[in-house]
Amino acid sequence: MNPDILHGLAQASLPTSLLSTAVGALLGLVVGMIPGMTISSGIIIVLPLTFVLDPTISIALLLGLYVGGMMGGSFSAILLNIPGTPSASATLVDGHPMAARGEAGKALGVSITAGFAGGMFSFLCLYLIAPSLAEIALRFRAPDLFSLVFFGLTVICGFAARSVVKGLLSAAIGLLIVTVGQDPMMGTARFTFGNTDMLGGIHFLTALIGLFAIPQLIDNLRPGLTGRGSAQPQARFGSLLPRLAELKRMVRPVSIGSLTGAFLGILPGVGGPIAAFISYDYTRKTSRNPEDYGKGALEGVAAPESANNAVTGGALIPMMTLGIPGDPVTAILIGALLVHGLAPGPLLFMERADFAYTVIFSFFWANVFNLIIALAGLRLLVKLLALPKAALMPAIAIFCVIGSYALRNSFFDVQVMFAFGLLGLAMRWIGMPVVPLLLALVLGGQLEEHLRVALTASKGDISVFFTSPFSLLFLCLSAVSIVWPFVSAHRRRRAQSGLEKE
Amino acid sequence: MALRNIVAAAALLALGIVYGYLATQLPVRSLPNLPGPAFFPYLIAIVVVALSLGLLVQGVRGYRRGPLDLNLSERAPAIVALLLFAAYLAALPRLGFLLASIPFAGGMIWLYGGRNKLFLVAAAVGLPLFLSLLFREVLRIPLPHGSWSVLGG
Repeated sequence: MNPDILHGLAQASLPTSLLSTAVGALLGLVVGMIPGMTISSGIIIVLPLTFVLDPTISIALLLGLYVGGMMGGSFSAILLNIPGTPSASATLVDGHPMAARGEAGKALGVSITAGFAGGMFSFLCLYLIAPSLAEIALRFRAPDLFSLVFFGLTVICGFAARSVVKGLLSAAIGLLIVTVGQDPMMGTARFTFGNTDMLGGIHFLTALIGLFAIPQLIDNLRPGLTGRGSAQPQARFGSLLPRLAELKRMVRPVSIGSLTGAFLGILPGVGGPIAAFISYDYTRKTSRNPEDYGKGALEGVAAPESANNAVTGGALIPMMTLGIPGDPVTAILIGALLVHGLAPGPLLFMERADFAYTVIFSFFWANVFNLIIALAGLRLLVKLLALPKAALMPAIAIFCVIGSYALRNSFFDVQVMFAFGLLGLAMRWIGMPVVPLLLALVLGGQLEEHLRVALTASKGDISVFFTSPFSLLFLCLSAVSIVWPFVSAHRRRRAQSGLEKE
Repeated sequence: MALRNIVAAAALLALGIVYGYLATQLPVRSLPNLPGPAFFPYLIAIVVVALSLGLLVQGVRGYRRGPLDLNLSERAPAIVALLLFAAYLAALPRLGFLLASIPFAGGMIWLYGGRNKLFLVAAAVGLPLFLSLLFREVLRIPLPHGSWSVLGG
């Protein structure tokens, strides 16, 4: 066996790594479960810790949180009819009716086991696909890399926004912010206005904390959301583990959900909610009893839950092999690795293959601990649904300050974090998505560098982007991802006007 | 939303133009016909201006006469929270983490509906104290030190 694989497995299985994974999974389940808190909130809480912890322990903690957060969202969806995370929105369609007719334990058990199955399937995808993809990516030259990063950004804009123009504008603002600081090739100061703090540029983790946490803090101030936490569910759970007959019924929806989730997770910006709804819809349409869906069908919980959790491993594939994050959480994982001098991308598999496998096996353990903690601690965990927001939200606000300050011990970063919070609120007001901006902040530096290296090598000849097959492929895909939302909107309008005429 | 689109498009258009102008002021440090430090910012300025115009057109086409719904009364707690946050950030460099965080935590707890006085005081003092001990003493992560740190910040 490859010694790097064995070393990665050993590192991920160290007691400290396992403990960290378990703590992450527990915290993830809690933040995912509490409506109004998100996986990003959990990450913001643990982010300062990751700066001082060993990278193996940091990544185990963050992966545990990522996986746990995905699963935790379904608990409140099933018990309270409020999805803890956007990804759990599809779960409540059948999960809550099951709870309402006294089958809360069964619904939660199905959700946990289906989530575990989805997570393990995506682990296998990650384990099998990532090294091969990294090998292919090593052949990419500057024009290919530019086109790849450009494709990543355009896909995000297409999927993340209702309006492609707003999605692209959001990414363009992100790219504009990336140019503040020193030029990556010549070190020329750009848009710093003589401020030395700005020479280092805007750190995307600071931006991320502001963009996600402050609008969330403000959201939770809406009337009716302040005061005590959500009412504690009074459900009797009964047995959580599904019976053999129920497990048999889960095979088809879990297979559909796992495949859909892992595949869609690979595409940047698609994320859990879309995967969950697509798998739910497909399972319902191909079911022998589609009329049962929406009334508490077990399959209606299994499909979206397996899809949600399969997205996590899928999203790690482009992050680890290409350095392209699929969502805010994988963007933070990149940031956490960069803080420790480890740059995700194809070179990670060449230069630090042992660490790359440590990440992969930590993801495996995250799924295992998630299952154990969820099954063993569910009865205690749901009591946290009653935690008062009055204590939680101020703590998150203070964590925002600690996280942004600890990054570079700079008050400037704290002010930048707040400014990004205001920007996030303004963007929400005009219905502009923040995810493209964030990912542009992560990818913008690479985009500029690859573009300039490619043009310098070709002496300014832009045909270099169209003569390389990889580059041409990515540019064509980018064009499709920009044009497709317009085409589909046009089709929808035509279909709608056709219906109105009828 | 159309009016908001128009406002946003106008602001972004202005940003794109100013940014593009600033990009022209950047020093030229490269060989002829090869991309210098201003090359990427130029491209972005063009993209921002073009997309802002697109958003402006969308906004104008969908515009129906009506007031810009700011809903200030409903947003009052949010505005107070943001002002409190801004005051906290202004106080941090002077008071340091602990002293600045206590009133901030108290204010936030009150805003989020914490009306029990005992809970409010205990949480407002306990939370920053706990975090200060955890990060400074246990995890050795630096927290903001104030210029008046003799006061315990």
